[in-house]
Amino acid sequence: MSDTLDQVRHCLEGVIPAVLATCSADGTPNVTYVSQMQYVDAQHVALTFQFFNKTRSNILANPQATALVIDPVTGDPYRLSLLYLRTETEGPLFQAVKAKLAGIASHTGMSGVFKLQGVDTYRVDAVERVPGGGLPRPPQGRSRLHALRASALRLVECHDLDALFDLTLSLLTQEFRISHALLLMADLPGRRLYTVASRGYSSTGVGSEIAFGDGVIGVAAQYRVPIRINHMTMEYGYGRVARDGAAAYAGPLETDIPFPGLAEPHSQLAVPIVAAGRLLGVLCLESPRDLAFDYDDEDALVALAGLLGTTLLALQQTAEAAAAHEAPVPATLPTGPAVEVRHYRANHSVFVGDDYLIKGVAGAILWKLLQTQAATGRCSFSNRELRAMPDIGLPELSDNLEARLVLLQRRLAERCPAIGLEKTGRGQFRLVLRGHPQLLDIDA
Amino acid sequence: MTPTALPEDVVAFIQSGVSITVASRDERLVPSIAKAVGCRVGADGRTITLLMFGEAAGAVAQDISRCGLAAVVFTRPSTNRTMQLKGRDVRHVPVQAADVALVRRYLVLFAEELGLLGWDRRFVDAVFWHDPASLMAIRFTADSAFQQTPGPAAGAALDLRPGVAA
Repeated sequence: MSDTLDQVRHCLEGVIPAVLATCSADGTPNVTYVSQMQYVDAQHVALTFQFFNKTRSNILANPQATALVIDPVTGDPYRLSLLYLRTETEGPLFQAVKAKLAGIASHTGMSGVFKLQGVDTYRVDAVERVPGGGLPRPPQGRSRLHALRASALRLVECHDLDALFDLTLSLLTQEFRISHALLLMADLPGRRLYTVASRGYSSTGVGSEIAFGDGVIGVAAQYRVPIRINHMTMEYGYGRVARDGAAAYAGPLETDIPFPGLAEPHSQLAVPIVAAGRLLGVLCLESPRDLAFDYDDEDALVALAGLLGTTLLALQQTAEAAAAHEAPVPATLPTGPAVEVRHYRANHSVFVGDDYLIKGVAGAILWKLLQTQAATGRCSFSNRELRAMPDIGLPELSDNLEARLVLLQRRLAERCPAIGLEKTGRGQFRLVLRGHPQLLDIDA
Repeated sequence: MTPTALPEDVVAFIQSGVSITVASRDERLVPSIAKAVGCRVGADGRTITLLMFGEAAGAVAQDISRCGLAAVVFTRPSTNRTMQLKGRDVRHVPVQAADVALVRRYLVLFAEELGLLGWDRRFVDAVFWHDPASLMAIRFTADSAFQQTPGPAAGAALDLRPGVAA
């Protein structure tokens, strides 16, 4: 029985470079190392096109190629019979290959040398095992499929967005043994993502933002493709916010809250969370080790992100649809010490005392709640009425309001003990004042 | 062009513990590929003999006997220095008594090279060592050579005339 590409894809992590043989139209063979061979699906691989070289002119004239790959663990060699199909110069596959190539370039001292011009897709017609190798493969940790099943069983029981964020990261830790992870939600009109939960960092970074296109998270969001890098590379660092002008579209990025990621991640995997055809966010894993995540991890996390996406969407819709039928909580006068709350209209940034709290849509929501409370004494609110408030300026109906409320709730919990938000039911929440807010609205 | 002796540094490079991969092709121009496990350059400085285990050589051995064409890439993993040689007079030659020892020596050198990158001798032997009874040899003279160290200059032809820097 012949081997399948799926069985040999761990040979394609770039640990041992693949070698590629091609042949010109006049019959002259050529052989070259390839810096990266990427598994695309069960029938296709992609190679990088960096320079117009002999391999390139050969495959354009004669699309047949043969590659030799070696399993870095067992030493098993395989020959792949390939047929060149096409070259892509942009898009999700291009971005995924580009990111992985950056890691390989950095790891092999080739940063600045490797330059991706295109991604050549080949059909894999045969996989042939070559004698050799045969070293034992050490037993793998936990089965990813079992981890996925265990995660699915718990995710489908979750009925609250706030709990869902924490549960997702707990599952990554408990079931997948991943110690550094981030969950970000998408602000589509603002072309950015904001952190709603994290694990394994010195600060949570809740509220910190990443522009679309920036780092593995931003690229995963922009192109809706999993991005996996196996080695440390500066090329996908998060230092250059607003680099491509994406943030200028809807005001500057949140930079007052530091992004919590590892300073020098050696492995990164960012998976887009999509549901009903819409990007909802990105799940990002990091490790201080090289080659921490493989194709199997990527499979499992893509499946987990799919389940997370549908759960997120369902919980958001439930919160939005909930009618305000709960008995109103009686208005109470705030007690406790005075707390100065300043609101700057220009960007809805809110400061409590001298401390920055939040800005943007979440800032506008908080200001509206505090103003309403001050004017009417009311503390109970619903998602639905927030939607109807034009001065909050929610970008669109599909905007992730529930996630923004969770973000606001978490920032308050971390930074402002005097003010809190509590959920009181589906699509219902309550402002909890442990101090007496002194509201200052500043026209700047 | 009458083949002349290879530059000394090329002779030394291809006989050191570098990775060696051989390609040929069949009548339908389908490429074949296999690893070689040793290289010796004749006293004339231009005849290159490569050793391969037949059981791992696959179609390369047959393709070479039919078309006499081969492309061979040599690379030093620790530095990425890479060079490709091509021949049009490739033929099978008998294995010599000392060739098994040459293969063993090559694998020691190659394992030392890969040791710099964290691989051990056991791995190198598992991948490359086979039944010595299947050892075979091919011989050719390089009629062209190409620089293939990664970068924009990869693919540039090397001048094989003596005294011209490779």
